[in-house]
Amino acid sequence: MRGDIRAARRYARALFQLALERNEVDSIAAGLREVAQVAGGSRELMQVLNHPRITRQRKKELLSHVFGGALRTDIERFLFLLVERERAGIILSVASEFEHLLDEYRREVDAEAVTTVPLSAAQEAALLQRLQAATGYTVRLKTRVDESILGGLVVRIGDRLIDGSVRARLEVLREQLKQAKVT
Amino acid sequence: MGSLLESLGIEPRFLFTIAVGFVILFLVLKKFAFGPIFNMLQARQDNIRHNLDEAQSRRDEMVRLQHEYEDRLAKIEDEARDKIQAAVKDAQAARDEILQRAQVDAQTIVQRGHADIERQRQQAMVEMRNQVADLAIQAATLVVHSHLNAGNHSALIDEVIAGVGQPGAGASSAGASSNGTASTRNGGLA
Repeated sequence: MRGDIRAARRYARALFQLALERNEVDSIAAGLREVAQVAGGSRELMQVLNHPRITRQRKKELLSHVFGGALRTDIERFLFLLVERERAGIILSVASEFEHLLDEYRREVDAEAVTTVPLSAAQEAALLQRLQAATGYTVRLKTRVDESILGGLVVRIGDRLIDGSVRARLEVLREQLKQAKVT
Repeated sequence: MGSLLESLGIEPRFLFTIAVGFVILFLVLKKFAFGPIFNMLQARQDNIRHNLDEAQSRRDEMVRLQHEYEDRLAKIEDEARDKIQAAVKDAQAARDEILQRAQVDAQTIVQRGHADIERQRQQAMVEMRNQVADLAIQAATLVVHSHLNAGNHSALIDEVIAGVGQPGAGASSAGASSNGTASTRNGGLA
């Protein structure tokens, strides 16, 4: 599994490098997104691609059939390369890694803010401004309401978590209580 | 002399004949009978003496044997006494050792029992403390839930927003999804 993630990162880097050289980052990203959307939406397709006893030729035919020539040839060739190397199963990870590389290249990052009551426009703007100032990245902020955090604000940005929720504070309190020495 | 024989009614010739007869008898006896008789007497005397000597020597032997047996008996009694004493000593040593071991064992069991009890007590205390903590948090959750209004919520959110980018603002890695590029991807987020 960890090996798969490393391999996905390697393939994504190689593809990204190629896209940069050809100055086709956007179109290749769009093509990969399309593939990821189809593959992510069909468990059967992933099962076939992962199946060790289905021949590579068969897998290639299936991919051609599924995408029906709608793919750019370089994306299709990339998929076939993965099939050739028996790595077709990591396509979703490759697409996700590619998005990360793209974000990194554009200095963009996804963020999600969770609150118990909807954020006001002013709060959202202030949060966005602060996140961008803190990271130096352009932040794509999404908001969500979830009462289970009890209050406060939880921000997930990239792989980081800023947990300013009441629930987290209560959890800290619970841990402190549980650390109390008994005699 | 003649008158005395005469007064006794003994004829001197007669006396003489008797005397000659006696001498002849004596000589004959000496020649044929005295030797064997003396020899027989001597033999008998020797025999008796020999028997007496033998009896004496047997008696001596018996006395010697009796002493020997008495000595041996005494020795055997001494040996038996020594052996009994040694056995008693061994038994006492064994008893002491068994007692000591039993005491040590008992002490160990008691100590282990104390340790067990103490551990169980600690465990019970820890469980109780954890339950108390959980209950306290549950209660606090209920209180928070019922007391926070829109205004409080907004103020809390503002507080967290104001802390974003400040050191110690509660940022932590999301753990499961973290990977090597996280830090570069998100730049200098505190």
